[in-house]
Amino acid sequence: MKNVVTAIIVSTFTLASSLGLAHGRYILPTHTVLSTNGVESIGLISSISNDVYHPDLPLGDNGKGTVPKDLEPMFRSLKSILLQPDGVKVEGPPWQSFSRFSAADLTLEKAGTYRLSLMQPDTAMTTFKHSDGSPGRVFGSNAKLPEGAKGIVYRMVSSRVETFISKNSPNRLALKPVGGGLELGGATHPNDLFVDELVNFSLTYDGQPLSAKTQVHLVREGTRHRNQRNEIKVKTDEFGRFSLSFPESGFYLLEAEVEFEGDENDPIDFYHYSLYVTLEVFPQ
Amino acid sequence: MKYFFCWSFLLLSAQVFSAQKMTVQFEIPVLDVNPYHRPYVAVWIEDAERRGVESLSVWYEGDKWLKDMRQWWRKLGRTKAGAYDGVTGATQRPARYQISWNGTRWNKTQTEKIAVEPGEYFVNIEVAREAGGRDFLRQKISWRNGQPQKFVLNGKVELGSVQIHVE
Repeated sequence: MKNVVTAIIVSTFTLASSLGLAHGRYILPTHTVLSTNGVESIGLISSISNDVYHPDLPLGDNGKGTVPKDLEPMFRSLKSILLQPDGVKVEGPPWQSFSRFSAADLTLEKAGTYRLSLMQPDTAMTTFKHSDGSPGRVFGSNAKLPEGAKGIVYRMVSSRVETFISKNSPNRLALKPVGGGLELGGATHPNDLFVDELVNFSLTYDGQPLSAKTQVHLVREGTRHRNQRNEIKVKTDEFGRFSLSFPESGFYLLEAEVEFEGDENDPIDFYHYSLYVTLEVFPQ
Repeated sequence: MKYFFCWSFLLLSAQVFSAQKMTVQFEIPVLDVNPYHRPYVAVWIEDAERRGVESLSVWYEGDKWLKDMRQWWRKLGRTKAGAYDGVTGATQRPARYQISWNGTRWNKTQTEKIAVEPGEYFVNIEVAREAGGRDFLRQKISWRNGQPQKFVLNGKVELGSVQIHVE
């Protein structure tokens, strides 16, 4: 179904055009590193926003919040998932939507590393041009297109929004790829990031090293209060690996996306997977 | 024969332990700030690759804030819980303090102290104060017989002068 052979070619020429398909998304935890032998809770904010860690729209709801109407269908398919330090997957915390962000609490009982995700499973998205040439897009597999629509592209989009939290000694069971789109892995633990140290990460796609060389973007928090985004851009190698060092401390949003062409008999033209990971970097 | 072996081992290890000594003198300065909380302090040893070797002193009040000594926490605190139990203490008022090390570390199973291999090590001192700042100093030392060394470092705010003697 997914033509991986063409992945390399497709990803190189679609990356530029497809970046911007979706707004940025993130989960921002109050803490990523905790020291306690007791039970501790952390607070979480999630948002759909192009400004890094300045929330704009909510992401996720438990049925009790205020949900913008056009986000309702997406929120219904959104899954809150928690991978615990023992590697066991459980339902994540219930997010509640407010006008500009969603919020949740997470209680950490076990020691080790947790991976928290907001997963949007495959969602049909059709982009087109109106008869007057202006761009349009509709969601859903039976979405109605306006009359005279041209340049119709059928996509399945899927996104994974994550962060990592460690209580006491970090471990790696929750870091193992679970499959389903893009995931972050590699030699460096995501809860052991310090300024000016070499970080070795890697991306997997459906649990396997991502072979399509892909651009990874990292943006430090606080974009609203500076004039340039100052993105760090790194390209993965043929095994999905990439290395970098962080010039400043703070929260960073890592973004990556890939697009694979559907084969000839597939009604879907492209499968699009995006990954958003919040990382916390400490000063020396 | 068995007894002889044990005794000779003890003598040998005692010799290694007493062959060298390091002292760290450091100053917790008086700060004219309100509120003032006594700082958390960690002094520890890392090897040449900056892996944690041994905690020499850990002053704190509650484990929730141990993570604020973030270099110590990542190198020894979070991975070697229990290995620093013997060197913890309450936070202290501003004054000069001295801590010494005889070149030993816990073995892997934390059942006995063993002498470290001769070589290069880092002495680390980290100070973090609630509602205040953080200072972190690191000095490379050579841990070999017959190499006396002296270093003087200066903290920025939370830590005054630091003197390290190896003899």
